[in-house]
Amino acid sequence: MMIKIKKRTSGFGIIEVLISGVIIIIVLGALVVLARNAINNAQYVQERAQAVNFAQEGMEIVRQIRDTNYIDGVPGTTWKSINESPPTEFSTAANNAYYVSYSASRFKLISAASPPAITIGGKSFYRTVSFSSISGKSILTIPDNPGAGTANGVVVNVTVSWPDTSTTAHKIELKELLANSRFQF
Amino acid sequence: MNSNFIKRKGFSLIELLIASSIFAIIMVIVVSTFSWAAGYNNKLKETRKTAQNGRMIMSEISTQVRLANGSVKYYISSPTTSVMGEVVLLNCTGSLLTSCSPVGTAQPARYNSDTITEAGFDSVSLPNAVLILKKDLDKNNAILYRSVASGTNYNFTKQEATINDFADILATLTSPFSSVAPQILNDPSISARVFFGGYGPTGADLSGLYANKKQQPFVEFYLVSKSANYDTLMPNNRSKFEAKSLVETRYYN
Repeated sequence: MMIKIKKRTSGFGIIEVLISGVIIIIVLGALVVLARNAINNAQYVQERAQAVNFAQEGMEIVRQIRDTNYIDGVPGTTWKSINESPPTEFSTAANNAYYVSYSASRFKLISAASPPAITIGGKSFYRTVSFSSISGKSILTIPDNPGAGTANGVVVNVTVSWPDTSTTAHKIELKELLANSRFQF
Repeated sequence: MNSNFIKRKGFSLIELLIASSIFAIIMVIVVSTFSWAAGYNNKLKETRKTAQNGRMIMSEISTQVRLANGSVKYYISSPTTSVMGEVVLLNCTGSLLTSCSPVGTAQPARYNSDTITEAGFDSVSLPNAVLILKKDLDKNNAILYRSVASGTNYNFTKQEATINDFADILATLTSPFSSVAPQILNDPSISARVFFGGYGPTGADLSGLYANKKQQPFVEFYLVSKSANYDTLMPNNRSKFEAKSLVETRYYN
């Protein structure tokens, strides 16, 4: 009687080991990409918060210019003046962009196609301010509602843009209605 | 058939070498990925924490400046009283309230540059505290925000006091706040510091209270929120968030 003992030594061949290694690397690679995405998103959230603060600053400066023009005692300035000497009014024409400047202890808006960079934490942001007409619609103002029925205000648009690491441009836009008059004035 | 010959099957040296080198390569990749992941997790945590604290502090200051029914004042020798409904910029040189004094007119009114850096703000010694006075219907509220040094870090604190009279608050800055414990607004593992700037009427503008007000007052603030002991940490374990904004006071007089 012939007893044939067929003993198969079960184990992994080199191909199997290599394939499993490749699978491990692919899975880890996917996780790394995911983690990188998370870091980039956290970075984006940070930059966006900075941009929102700059946009708020731009909007507040426009209000500050409007309110200062009422009380500055300089003849010839109206609430729309962007400079006190000579008193110049802003334009609501499309594509008329301004940037904010501070000189001689006053905020001013300077007309220019491309604004200078505002750099914070090594990151550059670009802020433009533009105005558009509310064309015939009126804003209800308290107490007098002056100029009711006419365009008694403007829409202020503040845009802040910044390039990210891959040079894709990010942009946020803030819009606000600003009335000609103000409370208690 | 009888065979006495048993072949002992095992690994040859070459097989062993190949197997262990494949194993080593895979392990190196796996271990380095995991240690990177641990580092990234720290970085992400720090980034989130610093930015969140920063946003919270920025919105807190914005809200309170809007609610302040006052204008921004600098130190004036006369009159020193009746600063009712004002926002006062202060410079605190130490952790004690007695080290805080209103910023004199010789100090720069605002940081006038488009490149904003922590070092720049430090070197021009801008006001590092602000006193906001609010007149509510039935009481007077005073809020004092300041950055208090704690070792090499800073805590951004808020102190609120209800006071009977705003008059002479500058002369007795300590008394309304001495019994109020400062409330730390930032996470203790964060170093948060805020500098302030703004418009202050000077010279002729100050002849007489509220006389010849030439400009609508505003307060600007620059915030640095970073991991505690930032300079001693490895880049993977730290994060820094900086932001700047400005708010105009809504009180028109």
